Amino acid sequence: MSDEPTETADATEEGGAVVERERTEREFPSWERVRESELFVIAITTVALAVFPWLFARAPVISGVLQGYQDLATLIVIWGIFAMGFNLLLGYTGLLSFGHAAFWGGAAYAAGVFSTHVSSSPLLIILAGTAFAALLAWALGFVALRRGGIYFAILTLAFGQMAYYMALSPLSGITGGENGYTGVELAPLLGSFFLQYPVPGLDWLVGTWTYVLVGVVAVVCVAAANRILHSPYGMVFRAIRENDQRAEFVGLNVWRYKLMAFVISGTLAGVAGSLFTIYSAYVPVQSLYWTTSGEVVIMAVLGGVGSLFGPILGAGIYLYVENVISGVQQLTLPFTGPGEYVTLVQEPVVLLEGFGAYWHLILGLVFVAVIVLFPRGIWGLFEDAAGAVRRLGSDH
Amino acid sequence: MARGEQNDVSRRDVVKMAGATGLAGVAGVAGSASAQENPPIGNYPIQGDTATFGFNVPQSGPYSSEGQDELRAYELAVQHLNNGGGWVDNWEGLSGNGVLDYQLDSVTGDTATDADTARQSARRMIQRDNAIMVSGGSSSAVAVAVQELCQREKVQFMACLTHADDTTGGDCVRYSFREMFNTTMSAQALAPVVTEEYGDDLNFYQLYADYNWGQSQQDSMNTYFSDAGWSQVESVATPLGTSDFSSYLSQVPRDETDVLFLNHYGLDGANSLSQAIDRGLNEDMEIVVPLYNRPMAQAASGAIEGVFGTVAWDAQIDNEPSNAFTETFQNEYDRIPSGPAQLAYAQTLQYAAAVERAGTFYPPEVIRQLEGHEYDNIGMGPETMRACDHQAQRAVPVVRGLPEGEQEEGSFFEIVNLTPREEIGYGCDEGPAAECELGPYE
Repeated sequence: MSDEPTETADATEEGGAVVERERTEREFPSWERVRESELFVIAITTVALAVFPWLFARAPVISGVLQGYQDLATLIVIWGIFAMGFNLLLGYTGLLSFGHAAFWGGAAYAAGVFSTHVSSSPLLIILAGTAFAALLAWALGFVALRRGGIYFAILTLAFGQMAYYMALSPLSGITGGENGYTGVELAPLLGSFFLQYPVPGLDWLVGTWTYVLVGVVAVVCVAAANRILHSPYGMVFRAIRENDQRAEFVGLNVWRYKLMAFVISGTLAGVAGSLFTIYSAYVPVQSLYWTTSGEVVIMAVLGGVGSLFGPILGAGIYLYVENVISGVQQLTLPFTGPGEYVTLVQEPVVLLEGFGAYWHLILGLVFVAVIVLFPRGIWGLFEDAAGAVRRLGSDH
Repeated sequence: MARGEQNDVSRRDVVKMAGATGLAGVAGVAGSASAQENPPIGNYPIQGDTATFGFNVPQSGPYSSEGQDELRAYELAVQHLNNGGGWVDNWEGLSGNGVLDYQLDSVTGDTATDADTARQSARRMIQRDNAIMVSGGSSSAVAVAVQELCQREKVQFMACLTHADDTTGGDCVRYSFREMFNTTMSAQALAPVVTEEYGDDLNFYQLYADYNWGQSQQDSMNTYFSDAGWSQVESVATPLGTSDFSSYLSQVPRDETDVLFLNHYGLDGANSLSQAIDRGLNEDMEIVVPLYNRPMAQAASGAIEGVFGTVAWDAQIDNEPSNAFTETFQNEYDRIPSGPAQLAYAQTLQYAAAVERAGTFYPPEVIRQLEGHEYDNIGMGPETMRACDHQAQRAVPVVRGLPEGEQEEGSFFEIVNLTPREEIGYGCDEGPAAECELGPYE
């Protein structure tokens, strides 16, 4: 008898807990659904982009180890947009273009020339460069997409190189030829914020207005790409990647979808190219060279072609090796020599002199290692790791 | 000129000013006494007690062997400025115990002989490492791109090996100085020597590296040899980084051409010259390489026999500064220095000496010290760093390749003539200098 009240109490408690849990589930959608939602993607991108320059260039310890700096953070985000746009074509539609330098460099030149002769407002410059790239992508895509596979890759490569030689010689009066385009003019953003000035109050976090502009554009681009990929339209892209004949039989106009994917991808490359002009106040003729197209392929594959964010990560790693590792004079053992956070030995233990000169080799090794060990790229590795952790968690 | 000068307040200025007002928590500006006298500009004032130089040289690409030698010389220069030795002991103003109250440190970067990479690399040096001076070269396109950045960022650039007219012509900037002579001066120095040797009324054919320098070089050669009475058959562009020149060389008309000008440099130069000799072109015509240097001569070895050209500097030039540099370089690295190495060494010391004269690292003052500076201490005779275009007015060594049998380590050519500065050059209102607008000091 004495036990009964306790039992009832337990029962009510249990019952209450169940109700409670059900209510929470109804009010808050599952983690999986949150993660997929557009708002969440935008929010997380914004936070990541806002924290990135601080982490990379100014945070204690981390930035000291990374040896990062503000301008490189800006450059990584710009290339990240380019690589993400490129990946819409390669990763989602299954088309390998070797001529994306034409859109990146074309937009950069268009933005530069526009800034000198029409308006030096940064937003209009971006608009002009992007519009040029979109139109160019339309025209080139119209021709290049007549062929598929390797022929498409070669055609785009040919168009890219054509643009390079045009800028190098026949159009050198406009482009400055080998010297690059040096006449870029930049007015303050929205008429009041000088791009090279630090952001008042948020200087420690994001640095300059240039970064704010690049970051905001990047968020818009990620949101746009995310929306496209999660729409039925993006579904068609993936269907084409998996089997374009089957997509054709279902009644889709495959060629038109491919052209649209190409234009969207070229447009994003154009956004990035215009930002590059604003960032560097200079357009090198190498921006049209095939190596630029090659770099973006490497970035995309390195980061992982199967995801939206992988290529941005790939761009970061590539540029990090190119710009930071290449400047390392001596490879020393960690925690030796002055200037470390924990110093074991005062005299640095030098493993390799002139280490930075091998940066091409290092990049090659990283690339090979990623391809062999994680075919889905570094982002794929992260996803696998996250999946493994979740599985461990659910076993209990 | 449209160079975006109206918004020339550098970002770092503002960061520093913000730091000064305690707004942004940037490390304070309070430093040496001179910091209070001069406003912050570029990476001035220097924070801490170490001044950093940025050495931006090609460590990959067609000019990498030149770049490696430059780097050796740069490191030697920093070592001498900090601890004495080499020219530092003899130069007026240099103490051999740092510059002013600062010890020197250096950072290096790889330009990959590519303008874009070079600019990124210079940006890293300027922004992350706070370099007060950037030096480097080996490609004119690179030098032009980097010096434009340096003008924007208000950091001084001491050009090393850059030979195109543009560097101190249409693309000149206030913050850059060039010790090296240019293509116009090479052609002016070569024309009398070569025409006297081979005769009048000859026909020449040119191949040139298709970028800034090659175009400039072939243009100058055409101008000055046409003036001397020769005529050009044709001038053909080859892409930079070409390794097989056979298709270009096979098109040289052997019966029409008396002299072949190979306007290539670095690895390209070594390749085109050896391939021209392999094809026996030297049996039908004379060959001239307008600009060559030690690594190139070494790579082409026997092919350079009797070939005329100009060099930036050579270890065989027999005067006190040249011998001193050769000796100290050899002691350190156990090898003979190349022309670019001497330029790198000279430019670094030149900057340091100007800082000592100015009594401050404040760039506008240092620039004023360099402008119009008269000197005779780098082994090229009396020189002037001309104020109107920042081009050194100096002698140009004309050399001729030795036969393979007479070549030994460190001597690949004989010095035919050290053409003095009076016989070459152009006024401030003519030639490339007429197109030069230096831009602002601040």
